[in-house]
Parts: sequence; structure tokens; C-alpha cells
Amino acid sequence: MLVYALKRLAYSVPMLFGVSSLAFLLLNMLPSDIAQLKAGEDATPETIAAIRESMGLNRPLHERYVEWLGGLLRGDLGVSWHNGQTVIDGILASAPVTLSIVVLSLLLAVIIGVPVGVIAAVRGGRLDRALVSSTVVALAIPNFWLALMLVLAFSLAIPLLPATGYIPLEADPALWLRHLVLPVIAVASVSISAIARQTRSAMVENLSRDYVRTLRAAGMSETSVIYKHTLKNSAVPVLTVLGIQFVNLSGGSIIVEQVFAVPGLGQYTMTALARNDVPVVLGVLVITAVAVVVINLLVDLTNSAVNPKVRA
Amino acid sequence: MKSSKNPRRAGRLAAIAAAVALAAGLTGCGGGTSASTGGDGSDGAASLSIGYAFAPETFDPVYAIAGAQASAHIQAIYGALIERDADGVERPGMAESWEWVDAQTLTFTLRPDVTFTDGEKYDAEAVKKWIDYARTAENTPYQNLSAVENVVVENPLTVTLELNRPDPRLTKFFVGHMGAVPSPASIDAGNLGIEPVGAGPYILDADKTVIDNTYTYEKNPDYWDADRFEFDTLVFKIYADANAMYNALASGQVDVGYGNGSNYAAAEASDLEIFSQPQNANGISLYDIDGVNVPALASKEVRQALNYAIDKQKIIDTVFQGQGTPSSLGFTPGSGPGYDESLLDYYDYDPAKAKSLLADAGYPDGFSFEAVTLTKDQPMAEAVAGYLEAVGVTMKLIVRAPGETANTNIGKYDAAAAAMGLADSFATPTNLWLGPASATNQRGHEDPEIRALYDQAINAVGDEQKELMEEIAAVSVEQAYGIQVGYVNSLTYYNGDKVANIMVLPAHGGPYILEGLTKP
Repeated sequence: MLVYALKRLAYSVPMLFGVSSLAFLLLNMLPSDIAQLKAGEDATPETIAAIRESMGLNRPLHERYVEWLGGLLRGDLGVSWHNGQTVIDGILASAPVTLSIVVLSLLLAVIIGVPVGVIAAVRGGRLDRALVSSTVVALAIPNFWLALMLVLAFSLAIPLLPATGYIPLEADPALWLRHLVLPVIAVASVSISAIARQTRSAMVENLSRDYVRTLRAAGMSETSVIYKHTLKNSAVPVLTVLGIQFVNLSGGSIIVEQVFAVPGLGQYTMTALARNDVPVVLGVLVITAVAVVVINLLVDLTNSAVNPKVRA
Repeated sequence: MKSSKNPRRAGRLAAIAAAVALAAGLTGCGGGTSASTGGDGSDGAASLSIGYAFAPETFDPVYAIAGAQASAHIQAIYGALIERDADGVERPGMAESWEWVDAQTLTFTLRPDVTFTDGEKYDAEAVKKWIDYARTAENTPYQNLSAVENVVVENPLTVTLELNRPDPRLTKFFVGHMGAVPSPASIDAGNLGIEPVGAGPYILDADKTVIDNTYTYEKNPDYWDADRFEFDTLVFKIYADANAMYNALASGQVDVGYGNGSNYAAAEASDLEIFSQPQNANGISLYDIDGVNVPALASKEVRQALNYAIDKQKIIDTVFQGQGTPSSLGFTPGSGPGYDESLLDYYDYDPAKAKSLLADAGYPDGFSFEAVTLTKDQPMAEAVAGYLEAVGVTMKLIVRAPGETANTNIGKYDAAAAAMGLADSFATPTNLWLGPASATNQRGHEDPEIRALYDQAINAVGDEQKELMEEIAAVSVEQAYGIQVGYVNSLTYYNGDKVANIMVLPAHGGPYILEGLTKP
């Protein structure tokens, strides 16, 4: 298991290197000019040129790349071109917010999605069709539209929940949760559906297998058949989808973060992109790439723990 | 086989019951409605929250971009040497008084016993240090103190600025960021962009501040006029998305915030109070007045024709949801002498007259020219283009790529759509109708008549100055150096139960911290 994990990590190094280098190249090729943005609309061309010079932007690209890569390998992601905050600090401040949304959404996805998928697979018939149709609808609904509708209904029309904002967990756990209810529902709807559908199809496939018939014939209780055996065997594809969903949600929560004015990673990145803050965007890209690698590794390790046949 | 349903059903019921209880608990706890979230109003202290579209990038006044979004922070931390009252008239701020000794000498008298929050004295030496720092700082977005030649400390409470040329714009700059004096120690430390130290009405609470999201300011008890500030805490929250801003206002999460034409109707129908004020002069700036690329633009009759061709009111109604005032004048209301209301309707909507002027000027079949526009100004520009097309003039729009600003490639374009916040009438002629080339006058065309009048105006005072500035206004309108649509309003929505007396500085889009903001 350890060897497997180490091998996977080793493979990911060239991939991460490639991703970050490509990102560096593309971002520095963007037409917008940070010096102009910093100088403001009334500045003279001379001021803009001087700002470019002072930021070291006139140096050749490869020189700047080597410097950036060196910093990266030392764990230094650089400093925002706009407000001087270190990228690490910015990410550390905003990541917990997005993680709160993503983790809670995935929890909801499992708590609701798995039972829905099981029920649909086990009961079949009209209930199955109804549940499957619901998942299709939920998948089709754009999460930002859902977010806006939720705010309209539960913050404005009926003042039940906050329309915007985020309270850190350590400041007030109850308020933290309260502020996250609407964003999480908006974000989780797609994941719930994806997990439900994946669970259902894996369960349906497994329930038709011979071993299930054998277990039933042997007199095992239906509960055991479903939850102890079939579900466990259905876990692999579901866990894989869960891993994919984690990555999707981390990016997909961007617009929801805008709607709820939540200071997460999505908003941090969007603001940086809008004002051509290359170090921030690069830093977020690199951290995200690393996170994706780690998540995928964890999913694969969990899969191989659940189902020994997966271990290659 | 479907057996043992009962345990499963009981389990499901228990789960549903738990979920309902959790939901009830969540919505019930934390104070009921969402109005009390966000930590404001704790322990009886009065707190006011204001929403802005973006955060300041630096707390260094010389680098902070002008506009309410950054100015709110600068004003809170540093105050200003000169302030404005509710009518927009300049009044003493951190400076007890000021005087124009002559057109090139400005003297400030400071208040005694004022200190910065780090204990340094707010005296003439501190002001000199600041002004010398500000006027020699590198790569600043503005060169507002370029006329200041020398700063002289007469005595601990008196400082004199000696100018190398008359500059009546100066007092307005001292209402703005140039009047925001930081502690001399913080200037020396070189970190006032991130760790500001001032003597203003509020102090930044770094522990309750999340960059780009929430900035908390606590009242400075030692501020010279502390009693006038009725809120102990100001919380500035950033809402990049206009929808999120509106939702936060409508649900009571924030007390004051910005609005725009698209949510104006909703705001009107709600309990929110609305403060609207003309902010930007919108229109198409014509740069190629010398007719190098577009000979037609060199003709005054042609330029006037372009102004007769557009229905300003209709454009404001459709593009800006009626939130504006049609105007043929480049000077903006509240900017000072030169704003002459009688010139607002100089050009009415008269396409027939436009066509006949074009024919007289030798363009009976019209002509075509290019104008560049930022995406945000595109709707206005397209509306203008539509009207011009109807009289035979084709204005081809080039939309700037994202990341370009108004000063990208100065001089490349013959015309540009512009929304100009001209806060200072003395800056308006220098920005628009006098050389050298700049982002607002990209070919550097200089009108000789305006130059002569301006050189007189800056050396004059009182009524004489006002008359000269109004003459400049009249010339600019008659020469039609731009296709003016009018002023678009800034909209500030606020909760009338939490705050009263909102005031907005000319060309700003948010409340002025140093005036108004009282409890209702």
C-alpha cells in the first residue's frame, strides 16, 4: 500500500511540473497589463512604464520563470501584485471557507444521495423512476440560479437565513453553520444527484449478481444483503465520483461564493483574475493541482482498502 | 424479499426527525432574523456597516485610487486637512484653517495637541514630511501635488506651501487623499500601505479584518472632533457582485450599500432609502479634433451635428434606467465654478438639424469614424452609434479587451466612449480641452480660447474666477469637443432606521465618512 502510494506520488511530480509551467506561460501571455491597472486611468505612459520596470516585468520570461519555480520549490508562492499580501496567506484565509462549503456539501451528498440511490435501486418501480427524474432535474439546475432562488425565498421573502456572508467556525459554530445552509444547498444539489445516480446504478448492477441471490437463498436478512454486502461492493464507483465531486465543487462554488459574498477560494481567484494578479492565480492553480493529486490518491487508496481487487 | 421494513422505517423516521430538529435549531438560534448576524451591535455600541464594490489595495493615500471605495478607508484612518460640509462647501478638518496668501502660496494652521495613534505629534513637521513624501513618491497614479515647490514649517502649528504655478485645484486635493496625513513614523517605516497609522476618526481593527472582504474600524477616542461621530464601529464589507450587495441590503445584513439602475425599481419598492447624485459625465470624447484621420471631426459644425443627432433623455432612460440627467456640458454638478446649468440643454434632439449641419459642412452623405470603448460603456456607446447612423454617420465601435484600461494605447484612437468622474471643475479643462496628451485628451488638442481663459481663471478669485470658468464652459459646449449624453447617477441605498444624512462627494459612488452618517 505504501509503495503504491509513493509510486503514485512520484508519477504526479512531472504532471504538477507540467501544469504549473503551462499555467505560468499562459498567464504571463495575457494581454492585460498589470502596470496599467495599478497605475490607474489617469496615469501617464511614463508612469506605467516605470511601474512595469519596478515590478521586474521587463525581465525575460525565462528568467522570471526560474525565479518563480525556485520560490515554488522553497514553498514560497510569492506576493499579490495588488495588495502585497502573500499568496500563502491569501489561500490560507480563503481555503477554509470553500472547504466548509465543499465538505458540508459532500456530507450532504452522501447522507442524502446514498440512501436515495439505495432506495431507488432496491424498491424499483415508480419510486425509482421518480427519484431518477428528480436527480436529472437537480443536475440540470444551474447552481447559481438555485442560489439566487434560495436567497429570494429564505432570506428576503421569509427572513429565515442570512443572505450573504460567512462566520468562521472558531468564532461561532452555530452562526458558521447558519450562514452555510443556503450556499451548501445550492452547491450540493448536483453532488447529491450524482452520488444518488452512481449509487443506484452500482447497486442495481450488484443486486442482479449471482452472489446476492446466493446470500438471499442462504437466508441472510435483506438488511445485511443490502447494507453489509451489496453497498460495500458498490462503494468503489461511488467513492470515485465523490473524489471527482470534491474537485468539481471546489471550482464550481465560485459563482455561489459571488452570490453569497463569501470570502472563499473562488472569490479570491476571481478577484485576482479580474485584475491580472498573476502570482495569486498561479499560486491557487498550483495548490489546486496538488490537492487534486492528493484527493485522487486518497480515493484510490480508499478504493483499494474497500476492494482488494483494485490494488494494482 | 422485502422483510424487516420496520427497523428501516423507524431509522428513516428518526433521521427525518433529527433533520427537522437541526433545521429548526439553525434557523431559530443566532437571533432570529439575519439582521443581527455579522457581529455588529455587540455590547450596546452603535455600529454601522457599509458595502462597497471593491477593497482598497493600499492604505497609503498617495497610491490609493480615488473613489469612494478606497477613500472611505483613507478618510476613516487619517481624516483630512480640509473637509466638506453637507452642501459641499469646504470647511476645516484636521487643519484649523487655511489661507491662500496669494495665487502661489497656501498656508495651513493646524490644531494644537493633536497626536497620531502611535503617539507622534500631528504638527507642521508631520504635515511637511507627508507632503514631501507624497510629491516625490515614485510611480504614483496621480501627480496632484506637482505644483508644490517647497514646504515651509513656519512654527509648530503653521505650514506654508510655496507653488511653482497657480493651482486652485489644490484645496480639493486636500479634501481628498493628499489631505490624509499619516504618522511620520509610519512614513519612515515604509509600511503604511499595509499598516496605516493616522489621527483620523477611526482606527483599523486588524483582528476583525479579512482582506478583500471585511474591514472593521473602531472609533478613535482622541480624534479632535470625536463627539461628532455617532457610530462607535464602522464595518466596511466588500460585495463584488451587485446582486449580493442588494440582497444583503434588502435582508438587513448591511446598512448602507451601492446600487445600480438594474435594481433601482426593486429598491424603490422596498423599505430602503435611496440617495442618488450625478456622478459621471457620459458620452463620446472626440480626440481627432485636428482632423488628421477623420477630417470631418475638424469641423465644428460636424461635431455640433453629432450632438443634435442623439436623444440624450432616451439614452439615459434605456441604458441607465432613467438614473441620470441629460446634459450637453462636460463640467459635472458639484465640481465647482464652470458648472452652468443653463448649458445643459444646449443641444436638443434634432436629427433634421444634424443632417442639415452635416450637409452644410460638406458631408451630405455622412462619414464614418472609429471609437474605442470599455465593455462597461458599450451599451451607452451603442445607443449613441444607433442615433448617429440615423443621420448617416457611422461610428464603428472597437471594444477593448478585458484588462485594458482607458489609458491603454493613448493616442491610438480617434474617439472613445467615456464615463468621466470630473470631481474638480479646475481639472476639467486641463483634462479635456488643454494639452498635453493624456488619457482624457488623447491627441493633446489644445483650444487656444480655453487656454487664454484658463490662464486667467487660475490667477483670479471669487466672482471673476467663476465668470471665467463659465466662459470656458460655454466655449467647450459650443465647440462640441465631445458627444455628451449626460450625467449618470451614483446610487446609495441605506436603511433609514439605522442611519441618516448620507452625503456623497462629487464623482464618488459611496458615502463620505467625514460628514453626515448620523443616527436617525
